[in-house]
Amino acid sequence: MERNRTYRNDWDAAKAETEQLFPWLAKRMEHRPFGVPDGYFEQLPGQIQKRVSGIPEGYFEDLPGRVMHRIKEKNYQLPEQAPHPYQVPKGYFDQLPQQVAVAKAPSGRVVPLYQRGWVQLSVAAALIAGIIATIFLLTRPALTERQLAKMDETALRDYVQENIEDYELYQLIEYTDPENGEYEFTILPEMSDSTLQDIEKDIDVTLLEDLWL
Amino acid sequence: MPPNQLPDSEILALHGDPSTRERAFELLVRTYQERLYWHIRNLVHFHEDADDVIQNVFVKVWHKLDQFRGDSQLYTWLYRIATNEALSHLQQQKRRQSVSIDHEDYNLAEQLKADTYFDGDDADAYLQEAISHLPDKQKEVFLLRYYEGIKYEDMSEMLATSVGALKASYHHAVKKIETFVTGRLNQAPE
Repeated sequence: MERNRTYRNDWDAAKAETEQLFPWLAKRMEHRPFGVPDGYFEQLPGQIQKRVSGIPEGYFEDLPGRVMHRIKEKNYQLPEQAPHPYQVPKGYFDQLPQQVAVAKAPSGRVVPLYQRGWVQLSVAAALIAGIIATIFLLTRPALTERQLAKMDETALRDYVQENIEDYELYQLIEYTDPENGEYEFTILPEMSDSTLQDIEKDIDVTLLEDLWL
Repeated sequence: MPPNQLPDSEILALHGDPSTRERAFELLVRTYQERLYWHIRNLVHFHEDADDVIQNVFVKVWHKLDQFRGDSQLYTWLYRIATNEALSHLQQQKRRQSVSIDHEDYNLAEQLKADTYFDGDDADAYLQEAISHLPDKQKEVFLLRYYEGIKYEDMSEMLATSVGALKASYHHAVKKIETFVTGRLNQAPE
C-alpha cells in the first residue's frame, strides 16, 4: 500500500500554529492513515486517458441529431416482419381498437358527491382541510420573537448549523488578533446603516458566539 | 510541483497545439494527480470514492481546459473542480443512503477502521470523523492548512476569502476538532 504524499509549502508555520491550538493534533500531522493500492498512481493516467479518448467534446449533445441524419441519409426502412409461430383469431387486429374502447369506458353510473357514501365524503373533507392548511401555512406571518423564544436550543443550533455558513458570519465580524483567536463582533464598515440596524435587531450576538465559537 | 514534471505554462502551450493536446493532458494528469487525489481523499475518506471522483474530475478537466483563462494558477482551478466534485459526490452518497448526517458520521470511524486502505488507530478514525462534522468551507480551510500546509495568502486567492477570516476559520475548526476528539477518546473503553 502506498502512503499519502503531501505538499507543504508553509509546513513549519502550520505546525507551530496547530501546536499552539491543540498539541495533540500537531503531533498527528506526521501520521497519515490513508493508503492506496500499489501502483495506483502509475495506472491512473492510463485509466483516465481511456475515459477521455475517442469521445470528442460535445459528443453526447448532438448524438440524437447525428443518428437521425444517418437514418435519413441511408433511407433506412423497418425490416420485413419476421415470421413467428403464433396465430391470432381471424379479424382480431381489426376488432382490437373497438374492444379496447369498450374496455376503457366507465362501467358504473355517475353519482354526485353528495350522494356518495361516508368514505368518499371523508376523503373529500380531508382534501379540503389540506388545501386550507396549505394556504394558511403559505400565507401566515413569520415566526414572532415569542415563538422563537419557545424553540429549544438544539433546534436553534441545528438551524444555524444548516442554514448559516461560517463565512456569512465572518462577513459580519472583525478579528482583532485572529492568530490568538481574539475577535470582536464588529460589523464591517462597508455595510450601510440600515443593514447594520437590521442585523443588530435580528441577530443575538451572544447566541451566535455561543453556538459557533 | 513534483520532480520531473513540466511547468503549467508548458503544459498549456502543448495543449494549445492540437497535435500535442493528448500528450499535454497526460502530463497534466501526471503532474497533479497525487495532489488532487489526496485532497479528494481527505474529503471523501475512502479510496474507491476518491478514485471515482478523481476520474470524473479529470474527464471534466479534459472537456473544460480550453476554458481555462490563466486568471488564477492552474492548481487553483483544478482544486475548485476537485472540491466541487468531491462535495457533490458526498451529497449524492447521502441522498442514496437516505440516512441522516448524524447517523452516517456516527459510523464513519468504524467504517474507516474496517477499510483496507486505512492504516490508522482509533484516534485517527475519530479525527477523520471530527473533520467530517465541520461545515464545508471550514473543512476546506482545515484540510488545506493541516494536510497541505498551504500559506494563508495562497489560500486567500484559492477561496476568495480574507487572510483574517481564514485564520479564524482554522482556529475554530481546530477547536471543534479538539472538543469532538477529546469527547470520543474519553468515552472509549480503556
